[in-house]
Amino acid sequence: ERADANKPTNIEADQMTSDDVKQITTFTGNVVVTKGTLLIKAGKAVIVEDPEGYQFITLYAAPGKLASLRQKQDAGPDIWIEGYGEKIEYDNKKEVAKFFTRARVKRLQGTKITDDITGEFISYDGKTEYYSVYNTNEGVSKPGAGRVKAVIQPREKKTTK
Amino acid sequence: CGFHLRGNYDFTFSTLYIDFPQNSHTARLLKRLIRGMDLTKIVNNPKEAEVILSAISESTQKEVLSYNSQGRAREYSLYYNLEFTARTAQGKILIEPTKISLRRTMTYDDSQALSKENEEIMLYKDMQSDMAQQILRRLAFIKLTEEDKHAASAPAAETEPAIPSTP
Amino acid sequence: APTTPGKAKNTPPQHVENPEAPTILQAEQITGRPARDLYLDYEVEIERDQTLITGDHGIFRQEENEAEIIGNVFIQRFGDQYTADRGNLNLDTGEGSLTHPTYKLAANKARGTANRIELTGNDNTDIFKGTYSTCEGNDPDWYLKSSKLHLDNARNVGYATSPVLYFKDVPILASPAMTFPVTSERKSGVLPPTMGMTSKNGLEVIVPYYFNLAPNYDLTIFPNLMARRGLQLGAEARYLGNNYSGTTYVEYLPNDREADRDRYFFSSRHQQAFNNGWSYYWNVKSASDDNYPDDFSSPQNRSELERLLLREGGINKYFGIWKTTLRATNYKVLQDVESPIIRPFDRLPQLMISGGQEDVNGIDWHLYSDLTRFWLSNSELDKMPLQQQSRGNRFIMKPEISYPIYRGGYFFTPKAILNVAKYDLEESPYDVTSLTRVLPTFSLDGGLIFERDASFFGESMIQTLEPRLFYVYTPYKDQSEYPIFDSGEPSFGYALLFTENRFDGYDRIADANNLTAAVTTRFIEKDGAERMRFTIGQRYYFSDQRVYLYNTNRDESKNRSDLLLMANGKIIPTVSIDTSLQYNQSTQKVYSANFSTQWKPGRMKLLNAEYRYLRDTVDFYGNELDQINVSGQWPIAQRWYAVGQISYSLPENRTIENIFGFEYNADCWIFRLMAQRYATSSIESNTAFYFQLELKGLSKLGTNPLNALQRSIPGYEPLSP
Repeated sequence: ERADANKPTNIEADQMTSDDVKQITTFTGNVVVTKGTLLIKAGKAVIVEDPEGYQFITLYAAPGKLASLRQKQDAGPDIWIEGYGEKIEYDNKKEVAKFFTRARVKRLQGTKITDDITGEFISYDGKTEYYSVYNTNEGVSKPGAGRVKAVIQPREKKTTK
Repeated sequence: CGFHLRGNYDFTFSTLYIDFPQNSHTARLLKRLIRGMDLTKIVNNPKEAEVILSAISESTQKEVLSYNSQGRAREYSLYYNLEFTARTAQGKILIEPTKISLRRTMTYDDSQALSKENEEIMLYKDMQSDMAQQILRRLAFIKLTEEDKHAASAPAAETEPAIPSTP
Repeated sequence: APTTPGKAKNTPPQHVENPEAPTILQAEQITGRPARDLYLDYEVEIERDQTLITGDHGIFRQEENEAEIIGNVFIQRFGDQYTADRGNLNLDTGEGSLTHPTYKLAANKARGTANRIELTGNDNTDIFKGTYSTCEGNDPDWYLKSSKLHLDNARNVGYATSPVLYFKDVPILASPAMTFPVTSERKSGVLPPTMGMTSKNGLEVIVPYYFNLAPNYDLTIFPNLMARRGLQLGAEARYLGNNYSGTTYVEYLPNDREADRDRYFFSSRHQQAFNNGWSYYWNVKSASDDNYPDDFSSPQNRSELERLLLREGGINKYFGIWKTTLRATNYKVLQDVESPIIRPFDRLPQLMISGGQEDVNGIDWHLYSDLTRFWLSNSELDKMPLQQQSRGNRFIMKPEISYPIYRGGYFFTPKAILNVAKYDLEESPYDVTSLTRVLPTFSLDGGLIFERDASFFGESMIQTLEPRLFYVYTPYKDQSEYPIFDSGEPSFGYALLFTENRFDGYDRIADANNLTAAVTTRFIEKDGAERMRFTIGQRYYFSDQRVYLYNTNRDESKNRSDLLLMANGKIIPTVSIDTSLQYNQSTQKVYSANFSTQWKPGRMKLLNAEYRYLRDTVDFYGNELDQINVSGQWPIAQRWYAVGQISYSLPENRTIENIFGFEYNADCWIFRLMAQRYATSSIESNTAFYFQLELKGLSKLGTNPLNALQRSIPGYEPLSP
């Protein structure tokens, strides 16, 4: 949600190391990042900040678990996105989130799932609500590498057809 | 040579309901035989009957059996077909659906049409009494067990709904 | 005829889709915006409730809930399957279109290819420049090619525009339009056409059409183009209500070229019963001329088209234990010059009353009474032998009372009957005008039933031994001057041995002082079913029989009736016999004999062999019956069925009737051939060939000419309806 941009970011983690020269901070162990409606949980998070203050976060899942990202969307009332993956790259300048390996993105209307997308790689552009789902975690589909899936719940009947 | 006078049929059920078409002559003969030999009590309500004998289909058929050399019917076959079954009031099958088809042949000539009409009636009546006897004999073979009877005699418990229906 | 109309439900199951079902999209790659359009590439599969779509590439438009697929498209929806190279389908409305598709429908497995298919929603399908067939595989034996084929699956009817029917790639039928049933339900539609060659009418082409007007009534019309005579229109209407039913059959040939007049045959039957005890019926037949049976008898009308056409109507009323009937009966005779028919009397009208009760403390009583005006015109009367030329009114009343005693091991029934008759004759060869006759009859009928365990052909059964005696006494009264309206000599048989009056009808009450003795033995199976029955019986006359039908045929007085020997039942479950012999000891002549056996090893496999002999006695033409009938039905090869019947008259050593039928049953079509030759009068006989091609699924299940054999071959099972 755009309003998140000027919300304070607070991050909890077991440890934190930071490299002020390259502007990289790394959090490890039960990392929880909150920024407005954005909520991130992961085993490890590497945050790089660009001069304008936009952050590029790379999240790694704790062993045997999945990193998760949840954020409210502007596209409509009470619309949320929940994304999971063994690795997540989030660019809050372009508002694009990429989920790698056993990736899954759920779009919810309140608590009701309207779209449930799974694949080896999912990239989701928050501004345009545009997904790309590929069957390998290199962000490109290879023939025979299996299928990705999208389960779309029926929308309430629009009055105008 | 081993023949002995047949004893009276002993029916293993005490009440019978006969569900046959309304003016079925076979049903009348069957009831007459059962009452005459006092084999069981014929009731008018299936619910009170331990055994329900019902006719699935009853039909007659008249076909030319042979033509003479002028192509005119010379003999007719008269068929009387009945399919019947017997079950307890609870629906347990006692006699599987059975088809009996009886046949009588009748000579024919166009100039005796009216007399042959009467003969047809006589032959159908003869087949109907033959059918009644055969059904009677099959009823005698029904083995109604005690628990069938028990189920029959306590219908009240099953059909009444346990909780009173809300108004 | 197609299945008789019944209470069949006529609304087909609607294809209902579950609106709540999610749409599952799978592919090797998905990009797009779920709220708008999702693009799927490689191994695409879109599934929602009853619809499955696969292909190489697809676009799913969420707004319209529509899927578009490109590259070896496969769509399966409610059991129908389509393939195409491009297609789109709206998952809500079911509308869509497919280019260069093939299709296979769930309804009767119809399939075909096309240039384009439009799915127009609510179960309608339009197939453009496509083929339609119900044959398996992609090289169908028959297919219908048409510019547009509209399949209305809701009403299970197909409409083809400018269809051409190909059979083995040969076009056999083309027409501007055509409708056909999509499922085997009773739907209106064309029935399989029948081609025929008959010696009387030359080439015949019958293309019947069936109208399923309602679940309980239908109409079949069968236009019959006869090369030599012209176009004959036939129609059969059948209806079945909750308290009425009936059938009307009509054949009408306007200006028959051979006979240059109109020819028609008409048969109508109807009965209706009201719940207040009233009911009425009619059974009326008519034909245009005497030669009608010679020229037009066919498997279709043979059972109805006799030379003696009954026309009868009646009203019944039940009240209490009584049944009254008022009816009128008249006959139309299609005279056969070679062996003329004597017209039976008309009953214009007849009032009948009958009723009775049983077991009124042991007593059964029954009363039958009728008042009848027997009538024939003067010209008809003159054609009859002099001694039969009488007409007038007759009143008869026949009360009966009996006291039957039934026990397991015996029965005994004393019975008393009173025959009262009063005639008021307007015409009589003995110029008497009124006659009355009151004759009592007493009879005693008794029998014992013995049983023992026995075995029959290796099976343990119960064998009964049932001796029975039947004594009848009726005093003699001279009835030679009494008319004969409805009396005759019934066929000799077990039933006759145990009836009081040797004659049936009410014009002759036979004098009787005779005893019938008979013994029957039966073999009864374990469940009470009768397996086999043997009977021997004879009637002994203690005084001469003095009442005859007509004074002319005084049989020499014999003190014993003919001996009756009978055996019928199943020797083993697949072999049954039905035999009877009537032998006269004094003249040592056999009067009637028939030995018939049937071997029925399985469904649609049976052989009948029968010898029938009937010495003519009271018959006026002196043509005895001495015939051998052989008939059967047998699958002679994979998919081939044969049916046949030959009846051969020994005295004339020629066949009276023979029928051969073949049916080849391929998976999606049936070919039937029937050859038939039978006598239609003493000099004329009709030879006919019929062949029929039934394309399963295209034509309704039609009337199968071979099924006319059902009447002449006992045990025949129709191969297909």
